Amino acid sequence: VNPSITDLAGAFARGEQRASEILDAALTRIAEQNGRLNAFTAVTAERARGRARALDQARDQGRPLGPLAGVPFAVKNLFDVAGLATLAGSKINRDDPPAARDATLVARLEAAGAVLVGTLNMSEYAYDFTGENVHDGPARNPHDPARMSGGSSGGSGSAVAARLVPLALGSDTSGSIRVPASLCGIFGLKPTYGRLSRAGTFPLAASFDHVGPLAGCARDLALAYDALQGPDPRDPICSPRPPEPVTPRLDQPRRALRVAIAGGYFDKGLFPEARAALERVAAALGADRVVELPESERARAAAFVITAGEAAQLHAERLRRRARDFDPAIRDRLLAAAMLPASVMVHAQKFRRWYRDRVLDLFRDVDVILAPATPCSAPRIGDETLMLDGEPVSVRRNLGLLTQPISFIGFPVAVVPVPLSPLPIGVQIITRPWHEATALQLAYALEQDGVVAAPHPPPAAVQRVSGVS
Amino acid sequence: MLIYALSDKTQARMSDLDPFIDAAARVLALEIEPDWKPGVRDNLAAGLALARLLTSFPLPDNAEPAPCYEPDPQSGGER
Repeated sequence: VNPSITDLAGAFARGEQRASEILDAALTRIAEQNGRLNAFTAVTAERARGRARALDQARDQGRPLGPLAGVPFAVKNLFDVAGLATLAGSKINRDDPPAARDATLVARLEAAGAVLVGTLNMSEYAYDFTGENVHDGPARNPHDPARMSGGSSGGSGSAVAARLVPLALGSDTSGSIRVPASLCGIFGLKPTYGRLSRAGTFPLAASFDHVGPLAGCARDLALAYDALQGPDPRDPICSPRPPEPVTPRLDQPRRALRVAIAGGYFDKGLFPEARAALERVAAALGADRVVELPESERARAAAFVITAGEAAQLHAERLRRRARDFDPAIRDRLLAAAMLPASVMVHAQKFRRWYRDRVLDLFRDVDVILAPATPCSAPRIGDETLMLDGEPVSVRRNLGLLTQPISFIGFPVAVVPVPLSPLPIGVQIITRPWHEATALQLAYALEQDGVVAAPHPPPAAVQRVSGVS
Repeated sequence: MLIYALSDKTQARMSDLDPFIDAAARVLALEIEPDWKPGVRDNLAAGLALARLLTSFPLPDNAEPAPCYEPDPQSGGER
């Protein structure tokens, strides 16, 4: 049983299922499985029941229903939810006053009829790729709870992959939507920088912070994206562009697209599963060339130092006052970040324009660039290193290697899950800025052709056995 | 031997980072407990290595940084 957004909203609109019944089913799944997965940090049952009652009433009275009416969703706990402190995965923010209002994107999904059911686990202050959290415990991978969900939107990946909810919101500064989408085997969208409003979300690095949806199928991803779009004066980076809905043209006949594979930097250090997944998607899309995004290692370095500088500024006072209350790994990262010279950051911001121009040049000759989303499928929780070609490689430093250069310049990416055995892994479909539609259309076509799919996790009983082995 | 500096014109090494961290922590008013030091040192070494890779890429003097600052985004200027 895997009801999609379309199934749920359709069943509700046709009167086959009450919003309250859909909600109760979701709350039951969460109650049964969250102990094992640790995806949710708060369940907003009371609020959700009120919303569901209002939706049922609206339907009974024949009032118009939104495209997501009755659909349960959850958000990474850096999104403001009225009445809750916005944790951003931290202990320190637990002392903050409750948010006075919802984040813009939470309000948009609810305006479309969706029902918020809770907030999701994440790496502290979004500054990590593993999905581990020293305060709340790690968000676990439904395909094997002994493995990482990926981060920093780990709870978002875990909750959607386990079908606790069909839709979650995450944020992505360097890969935090794309890495968990890859490790958990689901669809994820990191839109163009500035496309979706970040108002009411706790930041990491303003130069690169993006927000976006994670979902169990390509159509659901597009439906959510359409409900999320639109200008927002509350986010100065959010584009004034009007919404450009994708769902109505999702299955538009595919025009001849020029599809390339990212070579060079993006071809190094790949585990066999990443290569296999890329080859499968590339073959299905008729990729006929390899392009090199020049100086991508430096792009990653530049993204690293800007993120470090912006994060060090953001957390400076918290580091001075409450250093002991940070996750030790994040604290050490932030303390070191505070010591990098300012001139390096300026160099990075100048390099950013240079790199963007080179990648825009590449997109004159191609429409789509493919790259793996992660170099490997989900590592075991706590693993520090993985062996590649007999050499140990750092898990923390490598999980985001393939995503960071792309968010550095804000190009849109859809991640599609390739259901390899025993674990899925994602491929990035990268397009030119503001061309999310192309990426989503390809994701949908690949899913229709059976090339990509979000695989169902094995039954929980089997997992418990393998989890302790 | 690895060099932890922004240029290879100096011979800074891992052991040079400790006095740098101590001095920077005092100047920046950051408290670093002794058992945090190895973690900070590892992260700083990794950050400096990336910074060095980045700054070894030459940029022209007239290169503009990526973010655009608009003095008055609401105004379209004189019409």
